[in-house]
Amino acid sequence: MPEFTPSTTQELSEFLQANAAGERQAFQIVGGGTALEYGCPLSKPVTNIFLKKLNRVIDYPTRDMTITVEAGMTIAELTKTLRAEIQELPIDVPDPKSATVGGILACDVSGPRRFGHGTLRDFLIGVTAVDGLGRTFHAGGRVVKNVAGYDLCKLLIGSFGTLAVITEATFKVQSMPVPMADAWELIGFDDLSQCDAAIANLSSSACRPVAVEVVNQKAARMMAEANEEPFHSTPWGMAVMIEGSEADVHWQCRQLQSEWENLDGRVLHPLRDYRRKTWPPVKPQSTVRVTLPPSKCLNFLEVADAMDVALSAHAGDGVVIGVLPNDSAPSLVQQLREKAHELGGRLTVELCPSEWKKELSVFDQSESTLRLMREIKSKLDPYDVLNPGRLFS
Amino acid sequence: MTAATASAFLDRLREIVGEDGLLYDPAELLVYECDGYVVEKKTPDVVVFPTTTEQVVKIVQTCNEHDVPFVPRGAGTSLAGGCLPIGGGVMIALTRMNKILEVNLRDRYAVVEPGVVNVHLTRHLAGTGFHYAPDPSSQGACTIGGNVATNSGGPHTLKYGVTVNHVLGIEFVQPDGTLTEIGGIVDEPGAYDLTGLFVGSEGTFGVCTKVIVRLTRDPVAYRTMLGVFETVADATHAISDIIGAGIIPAALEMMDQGIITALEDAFHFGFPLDAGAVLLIEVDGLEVSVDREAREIIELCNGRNAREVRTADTPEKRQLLWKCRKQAFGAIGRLSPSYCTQDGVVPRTKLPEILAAITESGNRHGIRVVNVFHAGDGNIHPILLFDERDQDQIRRVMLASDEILSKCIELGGSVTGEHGIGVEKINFMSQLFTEDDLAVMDDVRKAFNPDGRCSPQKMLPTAGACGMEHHAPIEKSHPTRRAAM
Repeated sequence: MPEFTPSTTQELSEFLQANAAGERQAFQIVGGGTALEYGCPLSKPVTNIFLKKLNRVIDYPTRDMTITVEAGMTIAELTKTLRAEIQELPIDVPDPKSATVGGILACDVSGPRRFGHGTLRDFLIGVTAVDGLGRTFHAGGRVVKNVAGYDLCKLLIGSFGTLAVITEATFKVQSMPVPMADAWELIGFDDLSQCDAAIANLSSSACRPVAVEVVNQKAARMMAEANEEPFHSTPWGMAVMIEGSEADVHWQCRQLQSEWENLDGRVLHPLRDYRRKTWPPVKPQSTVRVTLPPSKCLNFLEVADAMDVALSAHAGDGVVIGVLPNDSAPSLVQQLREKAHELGGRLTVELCPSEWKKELSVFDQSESTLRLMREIKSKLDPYDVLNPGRLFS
Repeated sequence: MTAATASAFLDRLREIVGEDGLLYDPAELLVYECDGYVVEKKTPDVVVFPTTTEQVVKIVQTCNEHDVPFVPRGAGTSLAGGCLPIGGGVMIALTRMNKILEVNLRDRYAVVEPGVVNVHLTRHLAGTGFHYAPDPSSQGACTIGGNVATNSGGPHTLKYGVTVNHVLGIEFVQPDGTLTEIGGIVDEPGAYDLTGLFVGSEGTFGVCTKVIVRLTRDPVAYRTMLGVFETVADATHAISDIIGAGIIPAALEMMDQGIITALEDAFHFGFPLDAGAVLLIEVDGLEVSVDREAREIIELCNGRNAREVRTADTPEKRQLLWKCRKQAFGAIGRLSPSYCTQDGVVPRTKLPEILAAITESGNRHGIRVVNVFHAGDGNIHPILLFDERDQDQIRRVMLASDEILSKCIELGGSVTGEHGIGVEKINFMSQLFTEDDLAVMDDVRKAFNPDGRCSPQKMLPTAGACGMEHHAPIEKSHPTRRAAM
């Protein structure tokens, strides 16, 4: 079957209906193609469905602060549209020129500012999608508060295209202060206990940072090199992002520096900016994403640092992204996963050589969740034609 | 005798919860014949009051063994008939499962049983620097489990989001009796967001027995204001101006003259009785920014002919302003014997249009309507006043409600912003959603509740048929549900 590039939701719906009634070919759903290596290997031969022609703004009532767009729109284009009205969707997306709205929803992308703003589930208020049977369905709507029907928006976020192809999405968006300002405050530490004290201090701080990032020396060096900036790293660095109006940011920066006066860290500026969109700064061979209770995040960092992993963590949320050394083996992932479990967390393999996927579980789902996931998949995509095997066999 | 009142069945329930945990006397059951939606009533055959998760598992298993439908219930403050026991059967009242099991400030979560009253968690956290953000107007009575079922909101959801934004994980008993945990305090990449799906499922996926909720930092500073306007139109334009200026207040509530009068009669807050509407506006955030935002809001209100804007300059005055908002519904009892609170939602900029439509509808059907609502997020709550002893008034209330909600859909909105579909709004589902939308939702429900034994005939008009035909016919007592089914 040839590849398919629908121009409308209806075209896609008719195509998948015909497929369900006929040969039941399986498909890979492609937005910007930035995340095709993520997840488990596809379990069947697939043909691509490209969403690049679904790239329009459907509705943007700016004073209602909602926007409805098609799923193939790139994040850069969405950002540009919103910026023109001094609004934003505060989700950090790597490679925004390629990544698409549907893609970031399917993969549940989030970055440093999730600490202050939340994740996509806090912003997606409506969705249109086509399931494996070709049924077009909608959930939510265009109002910021709506509890009619099941919240299928939530179900589709992070579903990796295994239940339905998202074709339209409605977000509630935020206004940006004028003039908008942001700043990163950086502090270096010799050991993690000092860093831990600084994070604990933020819980009682008068400031409200939107990101709290911790990096080890190896990660800081990689970032400095990629950005062609001088490297002055201490063993650990913590970067705290403040954003808002100029007055807010100025006040918070001064306040944070005074709150940090008694800490053992050194205020640093090793990178001109902590580049939230450039981690990892170069495409590595293998990365893992570890999710932990925030209080256990630094315990994990300490262990992984000793294993020569380059580490950048959204420490306030307990999310660690680790770049493995190039000569590492699957056994390193197993060791890291065991540590994550011991600390009450989970480890997902984001990128790795394909042969590793034969012996490693890419995801780290709980049994009860998997059981219900299979039930739901069997209803919305009974012939297993959408991204087959991407999440589970 | 139904299966639910057979002595063997009652004996089994008695073994599980004890005589003290069981109600089956018809007079006692009357308390459970409805929730806050008083238009439709149905008593369950039995009410059970479990105190542990294990008891809930056994109750659900017993219902399965005896082919008896069951419905979970919290404090019964739902306003859409969400816990009405259609088809009778067993009502599982979770009010005795009311323990706060864990509070972890460093990781910003709390674990609670479903029967914990919303405000009890707030009080428990007072002084810690953290709070649980969802604060429905009924928070003094409603339970966290009920909030999860309906994805309820409240004044502060404008800035902080509805319940689903604050629920991290859920333990529940599936309709087949399996105890299941979904979500948790850590993200689970590669997993469907079943927690997000469960919240707002109105008791149709199973019986919630534990909830992990997110805790939110207390704001450093507040500014709470009361804007007094000559007309409702001026007030709604001011709302649009405030949001349009990029200010998202922590809360933005409107009360019209009918509510102001009722509140003043009941509590003597000192409200101007001749004002057309008042706006309760709260901004929170950094000390450095709240004054600037408050000044801007006052200017915007003045630009819309505000008669005055009062600022609560002490915590006591702030409390008083919030007390009057939260007691608005209580005061309505002084206006009429019964009332029906509607829960529509429109894009914020359509508020003037929907308020005009509400007035017209009330006039057309001879029903007095007063308004108190979450204006900042377009969530309206017209309150239709009537006497439930008069069938003709009930009919007119329903006609006016239908018109108002249809208008919400026409304006690009929805028929519920926080109360849910329940039984009340089931006939609107096919206006809001297509056949395929509803079929997909029905499929999702069947993944959790294949036999339809848990909360039958709720929320989805298609759900009445699934697997229940062989039971004693489930009554379709209400005209709207008859139409929907």
